[in-house]
Amino acid sequence: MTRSRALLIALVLSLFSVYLLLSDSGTEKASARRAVPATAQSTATGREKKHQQVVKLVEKKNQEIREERKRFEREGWSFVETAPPDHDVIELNPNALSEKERYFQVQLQTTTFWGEELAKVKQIVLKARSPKTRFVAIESLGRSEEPAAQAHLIDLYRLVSKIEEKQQILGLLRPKSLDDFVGSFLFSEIENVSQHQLLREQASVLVVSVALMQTGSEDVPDSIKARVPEDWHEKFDDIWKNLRRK
Amino acid sequence: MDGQLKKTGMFIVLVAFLSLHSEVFAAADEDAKIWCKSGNGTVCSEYELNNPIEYKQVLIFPTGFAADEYELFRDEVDRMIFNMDVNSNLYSHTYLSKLLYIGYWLPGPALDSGEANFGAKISVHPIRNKALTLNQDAVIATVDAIKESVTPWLAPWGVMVLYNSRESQVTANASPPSFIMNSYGIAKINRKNIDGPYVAIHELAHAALNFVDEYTERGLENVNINVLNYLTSQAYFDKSWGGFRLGIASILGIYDLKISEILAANGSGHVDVTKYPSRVESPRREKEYYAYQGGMFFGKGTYHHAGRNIMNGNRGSDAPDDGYSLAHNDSQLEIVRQVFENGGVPFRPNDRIRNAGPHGNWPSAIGGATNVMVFDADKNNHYQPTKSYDIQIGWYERHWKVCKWKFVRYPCYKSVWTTAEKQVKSAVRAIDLKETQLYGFAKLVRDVLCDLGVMEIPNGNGKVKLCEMTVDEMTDAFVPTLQFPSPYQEVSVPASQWMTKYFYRFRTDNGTFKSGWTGWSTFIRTL
Repeated sequence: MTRSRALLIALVLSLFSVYLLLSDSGTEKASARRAVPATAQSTATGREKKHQQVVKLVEKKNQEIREERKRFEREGWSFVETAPPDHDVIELNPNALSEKERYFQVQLQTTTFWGEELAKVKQIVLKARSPKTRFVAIESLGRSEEPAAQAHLIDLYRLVSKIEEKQQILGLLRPKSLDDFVGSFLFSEIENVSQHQLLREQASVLVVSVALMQTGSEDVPDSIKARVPEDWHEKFDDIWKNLRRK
Repeated sequence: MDGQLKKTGMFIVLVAFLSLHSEVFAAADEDAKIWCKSGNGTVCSEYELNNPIEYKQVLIFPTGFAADEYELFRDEVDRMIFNMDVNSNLYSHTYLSKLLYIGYWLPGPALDSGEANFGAKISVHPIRNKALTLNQDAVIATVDAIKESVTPWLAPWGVMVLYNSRESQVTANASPPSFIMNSYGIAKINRKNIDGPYVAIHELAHAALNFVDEYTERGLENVNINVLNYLTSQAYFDKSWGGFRLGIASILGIYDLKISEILAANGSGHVDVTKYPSRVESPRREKEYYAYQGGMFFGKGTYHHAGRNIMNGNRGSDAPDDGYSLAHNDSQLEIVRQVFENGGVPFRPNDRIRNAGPHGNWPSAIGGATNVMVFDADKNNHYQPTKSYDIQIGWYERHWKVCKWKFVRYPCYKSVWTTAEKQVKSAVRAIDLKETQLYGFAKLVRDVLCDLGVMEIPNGNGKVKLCEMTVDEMTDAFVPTLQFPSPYQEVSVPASQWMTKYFYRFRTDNGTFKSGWTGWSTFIRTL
């Protein structure tokens, strides 16, 4: 549970207790108009009653915990002492990168990130100096099945300068169709005549793979050819024929 | 008759046949049906034959040799052994005296008769020229029958089938044992292939050392193996997964499984889908570095260690220390030393692991029970398979108590980090993929599998010969299911609290080393 959620629950419970207290006070006030001694007695009883309710609730909650532990034990699990997770590492705190880089590397290689964490992975790529950290962080984004991870990879492709890293990123892109944002990005790379030939080729291979899966066509369909610049038609045809043969 | 009965019947017939024709084993006898020579030419001793841990048996069968071609077969076996001894760091030279080449004479019809031993044929390869194909079950049944009737000490490290053909432009191939889930693999070579040292050493490395190719297939220089991951959603867990038999498409995003890992990070020990195969920190272990791309025929997305070697080729890399040579690179050498010098005992932990899910939310729609998934590239490692996994589940347990503020008593809790641990045995898991669902990739996948020596696919009670038919013929006639050993395994976790964040991690035990732990992954059970 996150710290903020724990605080929220504690606040709700406190407010509930205050409400119970105020309810007691209300009862006290109402009773005072009838008989003072009776009021004092009922207040004490009310407090005791509420106290017992709290005790019961606590006992119920702890019982649930004991039951969960028993369930684990019944299924062959045993309870062991371990250090709690290092939240700098599991939450990829960029400020802790230099101090804990080797742990970051394990975290990046052995877990898959999701949601807001994906942006932090991207930050790690941009911040890390170690080629290994950068490599495994890019790899980690490529492993994620979330579309946002693909968007971060495309951002990174534009931000990194090394051709090896651009190639690594291209190898991890997975357009769902040639018309989605990843497909459009790949076509933009193919169109980019100033781009390195290797990168244009790799983008073309990916486009052809997806198109072949969708169409299985012997020749490049016109709708796809129309999106490829003329200087690249011959190359694109070759790639198509080669992969089609495969 | 079902498949099992057929196999049993075939085995009984073979035992009877071999018993009738068996002769007393006479290694030096020039007319022996079965004979054995070590790599340095000496006759194998009884001690050597009875110590398969120390001495490795390479069993060689003929196919297409007629009854009067006994001398030819023996001479060809001698020629092959002689040619495999190249002055290098190759296993076939360094451990010459520990390699026992066992010839077994089995005359039979010619290759073009359609009735040669083991159903062997020279077929049109789906992609390249011609290929050597055979019925691998028949080879395995013959080995079992020989062991039963003649030679109880027989424990092949690898089996080679020598085709009586000198045809060129024929692609030799071999099945690594982990891909056919057998204790040894099967190499297929013809007489032309043994004119030089390369083919026999390379194919036996597949069949016995469980090595995979590090070279890149022509036309795939710029193709990333990750394109095959489009097929992952078409895969299914087979019956080995028990109750956890979900369509993989329905759980992608919660779990991340990859066809690329199933093909290229699955038991070989010298090729991976990352430059940094040691994914966790293990005690006394220097992390490996696979400097170059290329492997399993793909030019991109697979990686291997630097150093020119026998499993590599010269296509796709200009680096001076990457490409072909009659040698091993360091990661191959480590496996060779493990096999020949260390009695098979691993030199490294099984540290090629990662958490494969769940990631993020665990929706109730998936089911009440939670399963975590481990990925382990050494799960099916032929020489150091993982024996067990230590799984840890952690969470912040709420220890409730009564708190007091002035006169108010209210429930409050302290979060206490709690960890439960369980040891789970590594179990066989397989993944099925229907060939009709491969779309435009059918030929590519076929090429990869045929080169891997995965030639037969179960189809009902019989088998489909994958490498003897075109994709179109196959689709018209059958819908074969490709089956892959899985590097993934699920572990059921009795986590029951909704909206609670659970953490999990694991490590492996290969019987010698425990690996380091993976990082903590998290999931939340949501409604």
